Amino acid sequence: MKNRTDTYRRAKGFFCLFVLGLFIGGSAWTQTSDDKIILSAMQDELQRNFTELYAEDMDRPFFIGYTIADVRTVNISATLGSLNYSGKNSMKDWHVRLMAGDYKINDENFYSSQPDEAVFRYQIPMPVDADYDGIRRSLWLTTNNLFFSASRNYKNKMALIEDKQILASDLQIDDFSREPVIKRTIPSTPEEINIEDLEKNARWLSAIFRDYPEIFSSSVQMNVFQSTVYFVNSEGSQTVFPFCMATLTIQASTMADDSDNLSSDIVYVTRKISEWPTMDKLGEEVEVMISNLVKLRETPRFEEDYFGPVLVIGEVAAETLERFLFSGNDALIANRETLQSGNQRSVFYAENENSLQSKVGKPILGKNMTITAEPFLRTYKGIELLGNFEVDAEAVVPPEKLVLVENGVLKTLLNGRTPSREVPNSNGHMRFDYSQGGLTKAIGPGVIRISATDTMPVAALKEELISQAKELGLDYAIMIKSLDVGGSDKPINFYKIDVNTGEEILTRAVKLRNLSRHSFRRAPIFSDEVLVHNTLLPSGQGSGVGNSGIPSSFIVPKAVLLKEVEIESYRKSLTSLLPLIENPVGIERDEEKAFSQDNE
Amino acid sequence: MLFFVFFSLISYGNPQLRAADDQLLMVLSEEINREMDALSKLETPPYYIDYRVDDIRARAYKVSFGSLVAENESRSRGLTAVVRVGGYDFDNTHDFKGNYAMPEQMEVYSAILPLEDNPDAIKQVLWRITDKAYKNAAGTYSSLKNNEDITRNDTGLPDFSKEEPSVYVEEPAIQEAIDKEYWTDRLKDYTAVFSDDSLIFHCEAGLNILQARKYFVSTEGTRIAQNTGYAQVQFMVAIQHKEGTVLPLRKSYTARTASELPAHDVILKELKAIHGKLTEMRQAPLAEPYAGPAILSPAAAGVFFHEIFGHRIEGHRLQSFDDGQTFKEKVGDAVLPKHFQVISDPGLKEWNGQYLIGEYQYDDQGVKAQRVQVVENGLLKSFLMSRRPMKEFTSSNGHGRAQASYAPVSRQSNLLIESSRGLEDEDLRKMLIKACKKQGREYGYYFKEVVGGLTFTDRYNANVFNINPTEVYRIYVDGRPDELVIGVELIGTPLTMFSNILAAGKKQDVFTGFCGAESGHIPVSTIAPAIFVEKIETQKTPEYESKSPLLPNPTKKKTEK
Repeated sequence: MKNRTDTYRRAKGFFCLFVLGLFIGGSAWTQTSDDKIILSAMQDELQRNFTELYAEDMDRPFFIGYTIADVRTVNISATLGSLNYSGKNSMKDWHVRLMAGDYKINDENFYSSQPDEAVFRYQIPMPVDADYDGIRRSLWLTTNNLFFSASRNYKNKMALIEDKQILASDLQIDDFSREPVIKRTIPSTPEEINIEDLEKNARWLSAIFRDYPEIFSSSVQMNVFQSTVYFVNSEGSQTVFPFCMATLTIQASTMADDSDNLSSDIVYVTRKISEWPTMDKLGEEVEVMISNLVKLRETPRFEEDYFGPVLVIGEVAAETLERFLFSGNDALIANRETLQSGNQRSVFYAENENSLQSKVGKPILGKNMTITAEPFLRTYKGIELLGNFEVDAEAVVPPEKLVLVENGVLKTLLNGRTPSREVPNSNGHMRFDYSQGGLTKAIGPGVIRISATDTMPVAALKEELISQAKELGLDYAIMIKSLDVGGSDKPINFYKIDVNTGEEILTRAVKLRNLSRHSFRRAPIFSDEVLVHNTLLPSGQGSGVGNSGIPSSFIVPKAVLLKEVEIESYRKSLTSLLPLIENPVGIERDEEKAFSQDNE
Repeated sequence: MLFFVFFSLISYGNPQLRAADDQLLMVLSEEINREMDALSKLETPPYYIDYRVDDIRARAYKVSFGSLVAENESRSRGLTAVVRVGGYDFDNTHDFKGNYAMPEQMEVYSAILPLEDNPDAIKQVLWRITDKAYKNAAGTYSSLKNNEDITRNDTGLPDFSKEEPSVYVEEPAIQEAIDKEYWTDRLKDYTAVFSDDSLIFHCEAGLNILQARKYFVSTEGTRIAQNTGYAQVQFMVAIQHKEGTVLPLRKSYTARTASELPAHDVILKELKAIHGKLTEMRQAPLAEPYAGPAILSPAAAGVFFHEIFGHRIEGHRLQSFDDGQTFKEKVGDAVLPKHFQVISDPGLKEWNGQYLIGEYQYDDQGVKAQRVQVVENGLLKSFLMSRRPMKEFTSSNGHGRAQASYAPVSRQSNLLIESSRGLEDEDLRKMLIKACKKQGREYGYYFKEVVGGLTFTDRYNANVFNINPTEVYRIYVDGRPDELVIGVELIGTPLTMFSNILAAGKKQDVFTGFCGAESGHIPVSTIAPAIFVEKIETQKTPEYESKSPLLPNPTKKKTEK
């Protein structure tokens, strides 16, 4: 332990230097030469293609948009004081959108079973550097390829519509919304990254596990993603803004005597490394996580099924709300119905997978719940909000405040520029979905505030939990609570609460069953205390929280009491999966210690 | 399915060290001993464990039309662990009729190891992986023992050969310093050769450098640490034929280190020649399917032998119940003309000044690499053996090979094809013309450049091979100039094709590549003369139609119609 403390002191110095670096670099932002080169190449190629791209019996494109993210990444992982990987990379992540037709009807939002043209199309990779010629070459061929595919798709679509004599009034939804043209540059000063210091810190943090042979596997992973995103479109919009992420993941796993796998993660998701806690604090949190895992090994497993009230406290409460409100099929996210051609060339709108689409104006949640999108909010009670943004990935400025749900009634859904049946215009929520491999675009939240009425203090919620359980004749109630450490994602513990004594009895091998949005319609009670949860929210059908997703912030009640939740236990392995021999970690040190004691 | 593509890897020996001088080797040894000691006390103990570690440093740059489009630098350490339960005669990798899985590959476990020689961090990974591998091996062994079908179909051969343990530790290689600016400038110069050609839409040049240190320890006492590495310039250009088909052309240069690659001017000169060839290829006629005489250049002959012969002399495959076993019962039979010799020599480091990427000192089962005379005076004599025995070949000859995370099986290394009656090129040409006349053919084929090939050896597919040439000529019997053609693939079946090999050239040359099969991709090379084949067959290549872009390249300085 002594050695670790010494190393830590050096690490703390590194963090101080970071702060100093930020002050030095914090001068007024000016457009760099790289910005000028990249934007010139994008604009020049955009203009050339928009005005000159033409082929016989093909219409000129009515929209072209280019996005280029100039990315630098640093990825480091360490185990037990030793690096597993350390690398840096530079790349350009890019995307071209080209549409044939017009705002009302274009080539998008259409699926046809017609066979595609079997033609090989050349692609030229985007240069790593700010290379004017190279950028134009890449955009040139990809724009050309998209022109062919968009024109072909548009012609198929129009032929089908005309062939079937479909009335314009039957095409209820436009294909692309008109939005104001904007020019916006958001200044950025990239944080300086000292890889050697990061490596040193990863080693130091991961080395804490060397003192714990009870932990079978552990790792520390640091991923830094710094980018400047350039966007131009043929409507005249141009945006430049930074997109930076710094994730720190500390993972550990072990096994209980009955072979139940026990694993825990602490994940920090921030825009800058300097927003991570000090090494001192992180070291303490690792110790808390280890101590919790060791305690869980000795904890009796949950053997029975449970149906009754459940109190969810901490970040896990936020995660529970986020998943049911912004991930999966029935999210508060608009979903465009695709026009399809089926058997005998029939034409129809595909069934909308999002059942909320038809519920605008109707109650979908408990009356006490109101949900608003407030993307401009930068901080909340001094906490930086990861989901804050000023302009979206389609150059649309979102409203300062957008009410999604008011007193349980659905008002609108988050959307981009592709109109949906109930949301015909963009509300500026086409976001970037981040992964270490790059950025993709997806509709999703930025800063979301979930507020409630009829709230109670957390302690009172526990009393209410016990009261509800008693009413149902239960001996105990269930409480799910995030471990008291920092981070966006953190270990979760399950407790049985004795209805007579209020005692919190730790348990394990527990899982929630069939939790749905309906659980939030049946009179959920929220705490008056609020927390901020910064996270990467999986877009589309993704579930769970990880190292990729849309950077989002949720200002939510710290605890929620759900009335009817099903809980069950994980199946127990019939054979032992425990390691057959002793974990080698620490054996040599133990032997050395025994030897020196013998000699003494 | 097996295939062969352009690429290469080399190996270089250095003064030997003691095993104790290498920290990682020591850590691996300590943990393998601890594991074996502890697991030996179990009711069903393992009888053998090995750990392989591939410590790889890689660097790569890629340039397209003068722009740097990718750069990567990485280091990784991959662990591959094998645990065997039972005994040498019968263990958890035992194969039997009706077993469609690959037994060795089902019993291998892999993981990422820490990059630094930290004993705790390394040992914990070894511990976790050994635990999993042992449990899996013990479970498989138990199932096999209780399977009556296996005993009924048993071949009576051991599952694992007994070999003498070896200790061989090379001094760690000195890492070569790479000047990024110098190399990316070179790559930019290569693509610049094609930059002003308005009919070229794909052009990439890359530098790949790999330096690896390979470790092997086993419970039999083997301790190996050897260095490998290569530097390779790869070039790829795609042109559009006058009728719209896309024609890719590849060229690569491989050396032990970046500094040993051909000089910049040499590569540049060759690429300029290739550009000239591309102009010719755009106008070249598309070939029709053909059966008749052909000459295969040394490179084409090398790939030809690798595919139709090399994969059919890999011992483990001949033991598989699902394999076609083409040559299994042909030991002592004439398989080639009397003047042909075929040798596999993994110990050969270079040939005629060119290094051989299939070279290694010890294979991936820790067995010393041995020279094997496979064909002697046209007669089949032996096979390439790993530690899976076959009838009459019960020991390994050091050909157990695998990519990291795969289990080794018998594979090729450096395949030498020799003829004691090598003919001059002109004589081969005369033979071709004579054979064409005899067969009533207007022309024969000359396969000059190839990029690779593939073959099937199992019983469920036709045992065919397929070789992908990039430069093919018609040689006319009436004395017309040779004519470049496109769209040709060389196809056939092994025994028929072998019986049609009539002569070989005097000059040999090296072909280097990566061979992919059930134990992953491994570096191989062939040294072969040109060969004359009385009758080959060709088929058309798949056509990938393309259309020229509507707008001109925004950065071309000049364009041609």
